[in-house]
Amino acid sequence: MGTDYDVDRGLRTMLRDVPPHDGSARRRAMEVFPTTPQRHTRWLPPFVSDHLGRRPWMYAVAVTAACVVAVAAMGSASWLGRPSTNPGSAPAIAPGVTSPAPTGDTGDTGEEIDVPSRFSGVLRCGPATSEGATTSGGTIIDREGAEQLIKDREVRGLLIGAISDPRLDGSLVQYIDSHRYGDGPDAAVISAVTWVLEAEAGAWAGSFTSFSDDSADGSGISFVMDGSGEYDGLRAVMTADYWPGGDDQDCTWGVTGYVVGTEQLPDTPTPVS
Amino acid sequence: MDADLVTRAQRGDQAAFAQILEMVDDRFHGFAFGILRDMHLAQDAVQQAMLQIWRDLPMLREPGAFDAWAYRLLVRTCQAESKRAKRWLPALPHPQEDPIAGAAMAMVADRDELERGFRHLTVDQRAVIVLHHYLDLPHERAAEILGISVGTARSRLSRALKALRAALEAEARNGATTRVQEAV
Repeated sequence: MGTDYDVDRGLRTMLRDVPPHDGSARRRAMEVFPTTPQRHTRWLPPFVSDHLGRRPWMYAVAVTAACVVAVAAMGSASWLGRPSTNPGSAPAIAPGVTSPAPTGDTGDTGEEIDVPSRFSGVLRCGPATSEGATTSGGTIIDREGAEQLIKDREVRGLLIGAISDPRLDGSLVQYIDSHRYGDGPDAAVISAVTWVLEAEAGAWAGSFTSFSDDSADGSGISFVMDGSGEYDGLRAVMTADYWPGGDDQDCTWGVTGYVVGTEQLPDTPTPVS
Repeated sequence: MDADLVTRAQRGDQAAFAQILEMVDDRFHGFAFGILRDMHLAQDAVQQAMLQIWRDLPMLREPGAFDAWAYRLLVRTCQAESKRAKRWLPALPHPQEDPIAGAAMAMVADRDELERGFRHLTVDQRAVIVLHHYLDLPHERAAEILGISVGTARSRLSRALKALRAALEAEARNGATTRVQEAV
């Protein structure tokens, strides 16, 4: 693909090039929906929901009134004895973090200010490896009245498909320890995951915990990878979105985030009693 | 979408709903295919969305918001279908040396690279691109359909396009490596 390729224009052309469909989806839906019951607002008698349906603004009035009453009730109970707070306090900006400015920009003091460096990329899943992997099978507990617990350790290589920051370009290995509870579609899997990325001048490592079940596939993970070697003192604050493919080897991770210096990260907040 | 038609369908008027399905059929297929890049999957997603629309239609308070609400359901069924999909596209051979045939092949190869790069994106990223580049919707409408803020819609589109460009660069690097290896 040439450097002058217009991606936006190419996208529009590609998306508008839709092959014809045979209408089978609509035909199948037409066969099924007449016998499919519709959902109604069951907490209201049908004639009431019909009446409100013609005057939707009444919903807003009713909900607003209910909220006002609830807030007033809670507020009168909790407001008494509440410690006074300084209304002027606001979270301080972590030293070193500035509004967008070119790297190496000099502030009034003449000191260089480092700014977080944005990155994005795509990782493709690879095959599971046997090194470091154990599949214990765990103990299958009697399912009647007790959950099945199956422990598993998987090691899988992730291939860097594309990453915008060369410091994060390398080979990545994913270690997953999973506990599976239950069986079939009701199963829940709780996983502790560590990513180890070996780049040219150093390495990165970070861990996160996630879950997956019938409602969620564990995507939208946010975590931090710590740099070592020449990247010592740097941290990659990132979000990873998981896109499962047809099998475990065909999945994709989309990653976005910032490379920051350790001093640029805000301290973990301590709860105030 | 005609609000009166929606209201009648909400009350169980099957003829009215059949009319709605006919009106949205092509648009839904184009949208679902844009996300899933597979017509069989798109048809399944559209069928599921149509049934879900019928089932949940009485819960839609504002008939005038039908379009945004229906597309939101369609995005969800596309997400569900994508989880069942297995993706692998064989790469096209690189354009030949003949400049005329090469130019035509180059266009096809560019399109192939774009398809492959697009498939690297998550369904959420594809959805925001399809809303913007296929339906030509402004950020406000895309945000309404996706159920997110306008700012998030803007940033999601920006990140999606950035991820796409990164994927295209990676594909180009892989292709260049292959050509160098073949030349050696």
